[in-house]
Amino acid sequence: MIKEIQFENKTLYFIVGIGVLALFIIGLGPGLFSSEFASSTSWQYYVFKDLCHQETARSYALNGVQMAVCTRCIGIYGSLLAGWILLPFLSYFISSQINLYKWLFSASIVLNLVDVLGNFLELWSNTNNSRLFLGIALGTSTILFLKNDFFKQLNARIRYGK
Amino acid sequence: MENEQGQISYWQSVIVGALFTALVIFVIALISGYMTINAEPTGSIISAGQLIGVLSCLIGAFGGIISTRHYAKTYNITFTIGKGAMIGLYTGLIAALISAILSQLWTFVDPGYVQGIIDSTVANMEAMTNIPEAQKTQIIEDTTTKLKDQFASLSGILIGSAISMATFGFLNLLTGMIGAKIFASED
Repeated sequence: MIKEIQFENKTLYFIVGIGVLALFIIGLGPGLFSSEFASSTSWQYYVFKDLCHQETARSYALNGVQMAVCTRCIGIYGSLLAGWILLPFLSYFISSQINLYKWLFSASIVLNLVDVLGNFLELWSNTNNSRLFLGIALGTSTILFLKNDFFKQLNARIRYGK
Repeated sequence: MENEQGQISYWQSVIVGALFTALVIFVIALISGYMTINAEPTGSIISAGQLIGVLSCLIGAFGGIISTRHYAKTYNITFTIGKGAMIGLYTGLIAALISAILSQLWTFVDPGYVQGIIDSTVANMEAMTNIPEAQKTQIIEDTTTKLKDQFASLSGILIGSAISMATFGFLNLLTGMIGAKIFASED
């Protein structure tokens, strides 16, 4: 039994891949390039200044330097990048269940919102690791949600001979 | 639901999404700016005054979803994620541009705004205790020059606007794809 994968929207796939790679590298912050002192005017912080709260206590450090985005955001960008690279392979092994992926995507958004609100209302305290995990959940579910528009699994068929 | 691939213009939807996103970005940046100005110096790399809370995270990336939803619901059509990506991209680019223009206009409303941000950032750096005095002086001088370049020089403003347009354009391209998948997919 041979599975056939049809690769669609190729240009968009490569544009998004390059963009996500750039976002992830920039999101890792100035510590990726140097462990020297990094000021708040480092360009990596500037890129995300209107997109992420960049709170020190809610961000990981790389080489002792705070990343340019918070733990949740680095989880989203990291999982988007990993998932985007693995998308062709995922498509081969995972079947296309649009409704399941839509549900997972919605659930991960709701989970993140509930986590943010619960923490904001002091119902519980989330941690850097829990926020990273929820960010990864959102990024991964996004990849699964979009999978079928780039790598479509065609009906399996039996191939005889060469 | 009608399948449409090019007859109906999406620019009205792009403008709706871009205006909403631009206002959100502008207001968040303004609140964040005034929190920076009014915050007590802490000595951390990113000062506490720059924050407006975790609720603001990634909110500027929702323009693509708003535009694609508006386009799909207004005209009751389906379209591809490629078109959704395009709508999201334009939404992000225009939102960043409008936000940059609003920020410049604000300097006429409050002429002391930019200088206030520079002063409070410098005050925050002066509160740092973990670096030698000579190095701290050098860092403060470098930071002051960089901030003046970023906020007060034409080239800095143009480069900053270009960076914002690239970032918001790409993130809204992503959410445009998601929006097309949610609101306009034939699946």
